[in-house]
Amino acid sequence: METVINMEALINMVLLTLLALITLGIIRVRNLFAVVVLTGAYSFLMASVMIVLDAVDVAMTEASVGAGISTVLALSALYLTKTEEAPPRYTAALPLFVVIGTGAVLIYGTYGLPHFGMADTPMNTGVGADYLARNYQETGVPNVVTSVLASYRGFDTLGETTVIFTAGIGVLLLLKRFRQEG
Amino acid sequence: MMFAVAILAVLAALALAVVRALAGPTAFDRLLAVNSIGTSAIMLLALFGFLTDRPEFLDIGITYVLLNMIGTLAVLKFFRYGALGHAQDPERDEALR
Amino acid sequence: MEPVFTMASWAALCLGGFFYVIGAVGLNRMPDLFTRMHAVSVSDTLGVGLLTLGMAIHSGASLITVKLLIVVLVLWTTGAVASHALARAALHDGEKPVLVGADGRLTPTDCVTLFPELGPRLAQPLSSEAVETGADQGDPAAATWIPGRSRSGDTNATASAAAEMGMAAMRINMLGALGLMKMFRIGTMSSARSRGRTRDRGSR
Repeated sequence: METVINMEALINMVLLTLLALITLGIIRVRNLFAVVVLTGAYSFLMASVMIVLDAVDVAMTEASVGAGISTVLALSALYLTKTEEAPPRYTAALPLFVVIGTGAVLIYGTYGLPHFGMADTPMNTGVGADYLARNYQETGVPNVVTSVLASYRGFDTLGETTVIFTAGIGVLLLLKRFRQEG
Repeated sequence: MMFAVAILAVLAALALAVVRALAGPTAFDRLLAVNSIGTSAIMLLALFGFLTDRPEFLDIGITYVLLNMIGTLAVLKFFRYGALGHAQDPERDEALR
Repeated sequence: MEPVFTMASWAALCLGGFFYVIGAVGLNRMPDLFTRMHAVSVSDTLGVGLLTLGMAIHSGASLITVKLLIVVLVLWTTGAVASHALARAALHDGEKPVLVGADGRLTPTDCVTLFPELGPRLAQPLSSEAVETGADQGDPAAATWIPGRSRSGDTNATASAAAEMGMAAMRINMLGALGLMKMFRIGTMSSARSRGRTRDRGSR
């Protein structure tokens, strides 16, 4: 069991390091094709991190949205523009300062979070345990996440689906407009 | 334990593929490396499932395989034709001539 | 589990990991795209196959083995198609394989000079996706048109709906089987290259 935990930590460290490297690469590369391709690699690595964190459903979403749909959409957007990134018009000093400040505040904020997987957090002692106890009697769905998404907050999910559907229509209309003008 | 060894090998391959994805002079090199990263992610998923005694995750591996190929082919199609949905398009053909 | 099976699983996993790393090392060490593809194919076939075999032996006859089998079969099939498409796209884009020249040095060589019959085939899209009609065949400008090179200028052309894109990306797949012949041609080139390289090493 000890080796399993060590392996998890090791895999996480390697994957997160590679993620950081790929992010730096995405920033550095000026060719937008390469950026799209590297973003696909980022999504696959992120999905692997999610798997190691036991969030299999999130991993699935990350892989299909990040590596599948996003690649195709970014490519079709790229088709309407140039393939080389233009040199920046302004220096990046102020944005860099803002981003570093925000990052520092966020990292400071993580010190207030409970440790990963602790049992006595509000997340695990409040409604979470209640859902775990009642979910199967009330809904008959064996997967707790699915029962919450589709039954307890079904209207919320319906709203989300509507938003995504509308966004999809919007993207299609944008691409359509370019086609008729071209 | 033996899965740990295999996972180490896959992680090493993953790191090397990332190096090529970052270094690759042409976009095709990057694409090849990313394809390899996708395969490594699938093997990592499967091996990690066995390492933690829950190999039921493999369904997601199947999804990854298909996504990996669709992503690669979409980019390649874009490269060859400059478009993804290029079927019969007289306007574009005019522009190319 | 029987000790025999444990041993077999160990051996398959270790060998698979070995080939997997070998392929990744080759991905970094090889001089040009086509040889890199050759290196990656080792990890995509032998590496993946042996790793999966090790896992399948471990799980025995169960549903998991069937899933593993599906994964590896899809991986092998799509891997071949994807690498074929990659090589073809690279050739069409004017990627030059690094070959041993007449002076014994490694130089990027235009493969059309080596295999002249490739020229007209590279210059045209495949017949099932042909852009030009039959009347354009005589036009010299159309005959030398290389699709990948002319993509930068046409920014005002059309883009298609996202649903069509997925289908269009899949269509290239259908051409894979017919196009395997061309892949063998690339194989011929790379073996010529490695022969030349051995000669190069011997003379040193």
